[in-house]
Amino acid sequence: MSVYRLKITCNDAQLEVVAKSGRLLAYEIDRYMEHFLRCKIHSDSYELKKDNYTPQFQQAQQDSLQFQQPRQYAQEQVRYQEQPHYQEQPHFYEQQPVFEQPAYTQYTQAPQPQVAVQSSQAMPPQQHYEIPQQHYEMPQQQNNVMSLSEFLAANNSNDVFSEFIVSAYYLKRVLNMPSFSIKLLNSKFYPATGTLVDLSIVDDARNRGFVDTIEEDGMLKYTLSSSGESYFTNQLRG
Amino acid sequence: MAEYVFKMKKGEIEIELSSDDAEFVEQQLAKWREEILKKQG
Repeated sequence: MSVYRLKITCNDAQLEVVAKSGRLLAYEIDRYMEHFLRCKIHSDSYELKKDNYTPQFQQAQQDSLQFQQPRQYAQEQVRYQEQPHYQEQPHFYEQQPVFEQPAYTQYTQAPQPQVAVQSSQAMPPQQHYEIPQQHYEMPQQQNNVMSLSEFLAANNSNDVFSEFIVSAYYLKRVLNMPSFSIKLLNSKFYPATGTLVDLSIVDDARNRGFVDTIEEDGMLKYTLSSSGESYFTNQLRG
Repeated sequence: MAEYVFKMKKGEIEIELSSDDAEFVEQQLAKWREEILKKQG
């Protein structure tokens, strides 16, 4: 759909008409064209015809006049005396009373800072306390727990199934985790092997009786059965 | 889409017409031309 735009600029006022109908815009153009042809160049006192005034044009003229006039609304907002909640507060900007200065200046001896002297005399000599430096030695973490990759390397794990059985044994006997989830197992299994254990391997081990399923806190978990431990001891232990 | 802009300025008044309807702009220009010539004559 076409868009028709008419912009009329006169001094500081500007009127812009945007329409989707060319017929409507042509009517507006005719109205202003009559004045356009009649107006004189370098005319200082030209006015539009009264019937050519549209609300938009009048509003534009008013807006342009507001820019030229000093802003009165700023003074109306700061009506200090008419707002009761300001009257209750102290007048911070009230003019301070001016004391009359004497004709002569009398010099008086300033009081000695006795309090400061007494306090300094009463203070004991400064003693420099040396804080004994204590050298804390961080206890060395005796991490003797074998990692899963080391445990896999120490045993006979040639395929993913045997690696899964070795890992289940590692969780149960080395890390003392009697049960584990697939997510927990893969968090140890993936860094060590670079692969993930899927449900098909777990189901295979469960069908062969090496893994039992238990339910803890509404979650299905797995544990290495006694048959699984025997399989590890007899077949996979290095 | 092409947009056609025609601007006339005389004294302090300036009229600018812009549209993507080429036929409409052409008709308006022809109309303005006739009126201007009629005014001069």
